[in-house]
Amino acid sequence: PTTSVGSIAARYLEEEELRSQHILECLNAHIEELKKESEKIVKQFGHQE
Amino acid sequence: CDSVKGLEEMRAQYIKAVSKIKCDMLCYIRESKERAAEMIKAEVSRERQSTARKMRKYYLTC
Repeated sequence: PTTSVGSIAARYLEEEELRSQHILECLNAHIEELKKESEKIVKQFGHQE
Repeated sequence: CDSVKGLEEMRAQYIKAVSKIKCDMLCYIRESKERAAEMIKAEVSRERQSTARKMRKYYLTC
């Protein structure tokens, strides 16, 4: 082969590493939003008891 | 009645968050597959071209 299979796979995985970092940030943002919003709801409905 | 409303809001928030996570994950997986497919396609065509070159050279020298 012109390029070794190993180096192609290595390049792919290197890019995949960046992408996985990015999706982790996205998921964390969703979790943070849920935390914030649910806290607001707890406060709002907790005062009424 | 108010506590039911609060529960419903919590439920809605939870479902929204999980849906977003699912959406992002599906996108990530789809892009990973597409990237892999592109890479394989590019390699195969490169290999094909180099084989064609070798064949041409071989037949010209014979």
